[in-house]
Amino acid sequence: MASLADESIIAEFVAESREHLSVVEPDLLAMEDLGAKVSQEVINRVFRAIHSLKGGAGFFAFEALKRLSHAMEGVLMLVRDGKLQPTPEVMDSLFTGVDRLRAMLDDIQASEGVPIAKELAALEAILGGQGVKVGETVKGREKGTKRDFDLDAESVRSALKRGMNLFRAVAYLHRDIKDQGMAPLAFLNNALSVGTCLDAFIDIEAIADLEHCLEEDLPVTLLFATVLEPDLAALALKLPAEQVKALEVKALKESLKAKPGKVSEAPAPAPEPAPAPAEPEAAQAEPEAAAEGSPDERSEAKGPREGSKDTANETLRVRVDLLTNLMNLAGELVLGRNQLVRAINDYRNEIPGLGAILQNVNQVTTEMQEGIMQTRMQPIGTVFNRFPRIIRDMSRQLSKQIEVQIEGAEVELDKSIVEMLVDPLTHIIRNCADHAIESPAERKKAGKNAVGVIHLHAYHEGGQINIAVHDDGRGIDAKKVLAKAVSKGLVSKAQAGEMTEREIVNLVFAPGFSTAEQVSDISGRGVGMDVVRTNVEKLGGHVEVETEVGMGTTVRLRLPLTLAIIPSMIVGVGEHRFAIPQVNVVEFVWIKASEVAQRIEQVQGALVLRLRDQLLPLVRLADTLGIQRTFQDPETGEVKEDRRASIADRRALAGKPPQEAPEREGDRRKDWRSDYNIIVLRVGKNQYGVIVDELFDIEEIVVKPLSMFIQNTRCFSGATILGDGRVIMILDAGGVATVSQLHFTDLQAEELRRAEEERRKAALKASRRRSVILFEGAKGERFAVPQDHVLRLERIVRSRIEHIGDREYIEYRGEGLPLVRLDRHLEVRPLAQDLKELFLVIPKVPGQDATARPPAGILISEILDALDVEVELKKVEFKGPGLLGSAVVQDHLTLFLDPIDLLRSAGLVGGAA
Amino acid sequence: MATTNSTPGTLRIPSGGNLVASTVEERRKVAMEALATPCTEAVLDLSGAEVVDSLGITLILGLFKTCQQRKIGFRVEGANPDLMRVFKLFSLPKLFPIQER
Amino acid sequence: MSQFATFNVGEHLFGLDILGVREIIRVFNITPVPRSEPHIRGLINLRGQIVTILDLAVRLGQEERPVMDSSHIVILKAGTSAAAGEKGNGGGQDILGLLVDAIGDVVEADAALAEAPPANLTDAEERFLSGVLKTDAGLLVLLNLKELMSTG
Repeated sequence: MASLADESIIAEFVAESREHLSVVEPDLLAMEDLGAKVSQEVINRVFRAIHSLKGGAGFFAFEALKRLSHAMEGVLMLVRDGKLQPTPEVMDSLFTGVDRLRAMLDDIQASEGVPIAKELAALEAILGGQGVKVGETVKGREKGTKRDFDLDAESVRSALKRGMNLFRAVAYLHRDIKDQGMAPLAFLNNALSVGTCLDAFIDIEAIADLEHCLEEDLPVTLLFATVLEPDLAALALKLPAEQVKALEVKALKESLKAKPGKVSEAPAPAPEPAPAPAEPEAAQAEPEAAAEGSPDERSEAKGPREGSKDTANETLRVRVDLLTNLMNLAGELVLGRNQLVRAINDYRNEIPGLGAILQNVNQVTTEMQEGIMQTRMQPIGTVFNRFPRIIRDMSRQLSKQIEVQIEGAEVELDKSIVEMLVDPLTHIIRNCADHAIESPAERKKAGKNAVGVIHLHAYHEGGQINIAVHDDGRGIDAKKVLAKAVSKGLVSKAQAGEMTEREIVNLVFAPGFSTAEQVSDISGRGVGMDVVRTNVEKLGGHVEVETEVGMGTTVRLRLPLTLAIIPSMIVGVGEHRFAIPQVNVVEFVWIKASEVAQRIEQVQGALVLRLRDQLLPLVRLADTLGIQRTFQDPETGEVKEDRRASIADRRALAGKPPQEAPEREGDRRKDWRSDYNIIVLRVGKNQYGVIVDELFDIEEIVVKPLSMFIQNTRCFSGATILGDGRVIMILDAGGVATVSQLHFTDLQAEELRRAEEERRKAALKASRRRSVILFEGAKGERFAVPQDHVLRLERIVRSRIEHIGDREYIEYRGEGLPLVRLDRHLEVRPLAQDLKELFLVIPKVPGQDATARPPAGILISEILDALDVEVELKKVEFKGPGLLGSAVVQDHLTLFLDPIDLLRSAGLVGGAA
Repeated sequence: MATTNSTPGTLRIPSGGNLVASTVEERRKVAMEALATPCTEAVLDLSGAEVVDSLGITLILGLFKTCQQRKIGFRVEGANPDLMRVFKLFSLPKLFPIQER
Repeated sequence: MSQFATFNVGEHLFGLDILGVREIIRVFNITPVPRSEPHIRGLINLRGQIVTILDLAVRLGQEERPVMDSSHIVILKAGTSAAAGEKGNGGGQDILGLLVDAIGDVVEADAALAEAPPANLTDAEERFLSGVLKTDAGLLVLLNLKELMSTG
């Protein structure tokens, strides 16, 4: 039997056969579903697959494999010819047969040991009942007679004279035209756009008769003239290269001389029109299958072309380790290129042409890398397609009726991602069938179709792949989930009150949330979903769940296209550099030191960034990672530890009146490091900001897996080597958020509260025109106070102001009235010293009688006007007590004051300061 | 039955719409049944068809083949210009007469 | 007879079977990993491969100290750590290096003669030591790689 030399051929056979079987399963399911209505095409496909497996098994003398596939082939033949209905029993025999075949292929040398007696007996019982001998050929056809091209010698001569090459192109009506999504007319129009069709004919010998014609894939043979070279001609005709053969012009000319008007094919070196594959002897018995070419032969022919629909079956087999190695080398090459570009960038101007060379190297490297990445892409269908079978078996066990719908099976992902998705997706889908989909009776009672639907949908979105698994089952009851989570201590009662429904439902992903027996009674989901999340996040993806009680549940996975190379932003914290994958980066926010106080605040003890109308939790990366912060002394250039304790300190500082620490504050603002570099990151639906010290370029980095010794840091998803050879860590946005204990729920509540307040204020503002008194402080500084806040305006003579300590008073109606200077409390200039006359704004204290003693007077230099304005107040740059905001009044920027608030902060009226 | 038998011996088979992947199987059955009636000539009427795809062509050829085997005549009528062009390019008129619409 | 690569950590001489050692290099540019365990010194780029550096001194219960001129990194063969890498994802592929204070000669000795390490020989937990050998170079403490690399 198989010698050592055959091993690689056998391995090849096994790999091919596995592919055949993976195609067979969905087709068998279709046969079962559609019964007698299933198209011949489907049955034929199954038949061919099993047939070629049988052929190989016979060739390599794997007897058990051959016997089983032979029997299956017999049953399939009966079904194809309508002599046997694909009843559940028949289909069962085929399904179990496929399982056995697969088991044998798993260890081909031990295939004789796989028990198949039961399966064989079942198949043979079916065959026996029909009285058909296995292997009997149902129909045959005579070998096609050769047909000549009909054409006039003149057109051939003229084509040759114009320097055209002549080709004999064979296009199969189904495979090359229909399966490529083309109409025959489109195919011909395309051909005629690149050359001339001198003659064409369809080999009708391949057709037996009307009854069986649709199973045949008829070859159309074209005599085609074009200026294109052979490989390009094939490409242009959208045909596999093997099917386009150049005709030797000399021979043609000879034949033209000999037989004007007829060009015989015989002298041309072109082979038979049908791509008659060198099939093993065993296949000779069924000529109709041989004539169509075994599927594997086709797959290789189609390999290098793009846009083919069923890529899984049309690939050239390459060892994965070879590809992985290539990919690593490409990665290294990219790094090498980066280093090279960096090293010689400075010489660009000195060496003429260097720029172009660099650009070229750059381009080629990038394209090569992309090309290699492409070779690792696999359609998600390779995972999806296993689910109909799993669900079929499960629904039988569970006595449920479940249909699997697949959409987007052609979406491609990196092979490693596809492989790593198998377990999480299987988990999710098993959960759907087991828990989410109700029994037919229950569904009917709920007014639903008895057949439950699991819909698998893969699609591209924003450079990522989304996979949605939707079921129309009972949905998840948020209340029950929450109760469980609280009882398990996963969330506190306080937290529970503030959680949105979505967050609650997503608790099913929380580690320790559930075990099988606990969840199946309360929800449709939850069995080990934390494992699903862990696996998906390991791939750099996210998973979340949406549900509606009674309507169904959707589990949505977001995944990167490829794992290996990702554009990332490089950031610096202290002496450290980190890479943040760009898919996680939403935007970059730079906050000037002077704005820090307004943009960054504290909510329930946590730092928050106000970004447009959103509140984002803020993380100082250095704190989360426990990195000593450093800064470079602007004068000495020395690297020092940053003693700035926290942002909260800075806030306190900035909030105080400026005169208390004017110089220190001024100094600090000169240091650019007082500005904040914030990167807004996305984690699932949530966003948060990360404060870093420095931002560098965006680089394409090659992801290297994380050493198991540092996986427990939870903040990193991998490591990479930068262009300068330095190793840096890749930040895991989700991990950083978790480690920093961000509470997105708290903020959402706060956001809602603020939005509500904003609305109230806006409503108030819109409802009121303001009557104000306009006055001047220092020269050119204008203020306004609402008239209803003012009790009286008084003119005073400056010399009458009395001083007690550093306080000022004036005698007013027989009593001392404290005076308030605006520049003591606000960031405004003092009044001019040389004024003889001043004015006082005496505020009205709410709830006080007009005759009561006023608390104080605010000193101003001039009263300008009393008027009605309709303004929208804007926030002012600096803060201070009593500042309502600013607006432009009479073409001047005017600060609007709340005098009572001002006096309160000066300690001159009661109430909270 | 969607076939008519206007002239004796001539069997007219209307295409009953487009001859494309989704319809060919059904049309094949109709044609099979029609051919059960004895006749001397079969005419495929494409006046109801705007589109004929690869499978449609295969079906026409199958029909032709069966007629050939039964030694009855076969022709196609009512092909629109686009279809005519395809048929011509595939040299079908060399096999059986085709009449343009 | 086995050959042992020897090296110093603190005052003791430690040994590893030379078959488990890939190469020994000088120390350069270690990238520290925040939040990692104290005995993880960081990562280096060894000709395009990322190597995790384990600080042997810290692992053996000593103080972390700055890299010295005599410091070296003993790079272990990839397979050597496979035993410890059962649970990690691809952990068996990890390349590990041990940061040591200084390297010594290759010593030939019969591993079968190794005795159980006396208690309190070093500050190290006993599980990290697999035995001691008397050699010409002095008392050689053999390390238990599997335990050293356990991530528990």
